[in-house]
Amino acid sequence: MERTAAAFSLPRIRFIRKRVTFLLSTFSVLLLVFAWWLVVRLHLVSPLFVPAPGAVWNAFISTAGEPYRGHTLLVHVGISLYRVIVAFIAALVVSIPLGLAIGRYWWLDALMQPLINFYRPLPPLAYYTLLVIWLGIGDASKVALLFLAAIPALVINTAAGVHAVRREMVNAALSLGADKWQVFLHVIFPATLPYVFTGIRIALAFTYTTLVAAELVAATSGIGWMVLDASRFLRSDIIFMGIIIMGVTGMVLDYIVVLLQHRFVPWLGKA
Amino acid sequence: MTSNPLSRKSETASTSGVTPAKRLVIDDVSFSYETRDGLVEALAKIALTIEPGEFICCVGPSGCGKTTLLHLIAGFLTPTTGTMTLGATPVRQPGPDRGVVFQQPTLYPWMTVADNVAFGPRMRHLPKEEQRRRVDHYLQLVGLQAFAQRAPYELSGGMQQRVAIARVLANDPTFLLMDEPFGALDALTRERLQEELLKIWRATRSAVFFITHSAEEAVFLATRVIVMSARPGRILLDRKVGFSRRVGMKPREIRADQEFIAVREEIIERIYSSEETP
Ligand SMILES: Nc1ncnc2c1ncn2[C@@H]1O[C@H](COP(=O)(O)OP(=O)(O)OP(=O)(O)O)[C@@H](O)[C@H]1O
Ligand SMILES: [Mg+2]
Repeated sequence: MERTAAAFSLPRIRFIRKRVTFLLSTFSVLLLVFAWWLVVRLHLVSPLFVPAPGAVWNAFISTAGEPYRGHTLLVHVGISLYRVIVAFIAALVVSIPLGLAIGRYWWLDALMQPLINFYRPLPPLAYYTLLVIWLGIGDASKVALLFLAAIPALVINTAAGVHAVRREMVNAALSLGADKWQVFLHVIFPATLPYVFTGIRIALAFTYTTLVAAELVAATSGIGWMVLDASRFLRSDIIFMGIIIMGVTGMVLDYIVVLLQHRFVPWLGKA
Repeated sequence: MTSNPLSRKSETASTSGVTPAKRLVIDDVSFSYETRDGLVEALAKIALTIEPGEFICCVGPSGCGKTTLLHLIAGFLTPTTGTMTLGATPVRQPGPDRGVVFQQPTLYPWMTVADNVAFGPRMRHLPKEEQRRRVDHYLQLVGLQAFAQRAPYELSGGMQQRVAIARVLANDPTFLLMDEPFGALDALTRERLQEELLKIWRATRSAVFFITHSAEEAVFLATRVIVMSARPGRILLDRKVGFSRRVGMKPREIRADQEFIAVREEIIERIYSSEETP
């Protein structure tokens, strides 16, 4: 009994589970690629519909090396990321103070509530058409679109974070001599950070999806546009490659946010 | 700048702007919580005057309204009826003159232990040097100087409560409100902190409102013990005791003193009888 208990102590189980998780995840990816390869190999579908993994890899190598319709792959991805990041930072700068204020002042909540509730469920592409008319087909309309797409999740989560602050946290600060502004800065704002990060993850994923969709509708560059353009020439190898790049980029963006969350909210789930 | 805590009061009173101790008058205060099922009457007609320098220990059955009374004094709640005045002004909101140690420690997880203790002095813009001195002094007092740079959630419940006590003492309040501050501590630490608290109280002449479930602790610390009835809380017994003023005697001798035991038993009996009331 003693030995079993020692061999399966909690940190040990966690360690083993991490290893197994990694192996299983790798396995599922490899299995998918293998199934894909097999389908093509056995000529189950036309390579026009599903290109071979090797063809997709070649498309990656060639577009990485030489420009595809003006830009290399890296530049197309970079253009897309640039649009997301500029718009997202602008959205953060506006949404977090707005969310904090909405969480704090009921009348501001009442004023903003109908506006946010109305435009939040709208598919961004619906008002994108308007933005293109107003701002043209270039970066301005896209950045504006992404900015608008990011705002609701950020504002709503930040405001929810303010509502969730424990009353005693505020009371403790007041009875230690903090004034209203200090309470806001040193207690309420840090206490909302876990919610803010939840909002950031949701909003970033949504913004990224919206970007690709917008590039599919109207653009002359970017990873989404690349896929759209390839479809006109039935280049399914480039379409596949583009989709994989989009997925991986989205995962990397999310992972960066998770890392930032560990850095800025180390107490999550512990206090 | 001496490190003697006893001489601290006079030198910091001017820099921190804390007003001298005042008399607290609680005049027929009652309090009801609003809940979904209507009003819950927590306190009924409490009348109590606390003079500067008094050490009040409040005991009573669980749920009788002790915390509610403390939160009223702190200014977190407003009386449903009755008035509460501190000196000449009504109690309306929390302030640094009334330091609160909560029943559950409410430390800020985004700050280190040291920054938590420095919170009050920092908010009140005391000089950096003075802030550091107080952090060192009070962490030392609660035996946690080795944990200054840790995060609060890396400490045990009892250690967190000690940080919360240090945080309030570092802010130099003239009225200390403590809600079962030593409840989560081992007997040894508890007795040591009781004695330290008495030292601080004697040196500063602050008033203390101290909630406890231990009659022994109440009789050891208090100049007055208040026993409350089951909800809605009323004051059943308001008794002067004098053991905390016996400076010459060793704590061990006091606790073993015949008179001490007699008073303690009297209080315990009163608590038991309060719980029987339906
Ligand atoms: N926020 C609240 N909303 C509604 N009712 C409350 C609230 N807080 C306390 N009460 C009620 O008020 C009564 C007094 O509560 P209080 O916390 O003051 O008791 P207490 O004497 O401190 O108890 P304990 O010794 O267990 O800490 C309780 O019966 C409780 O049901
Ligand atoms: Mg209580």
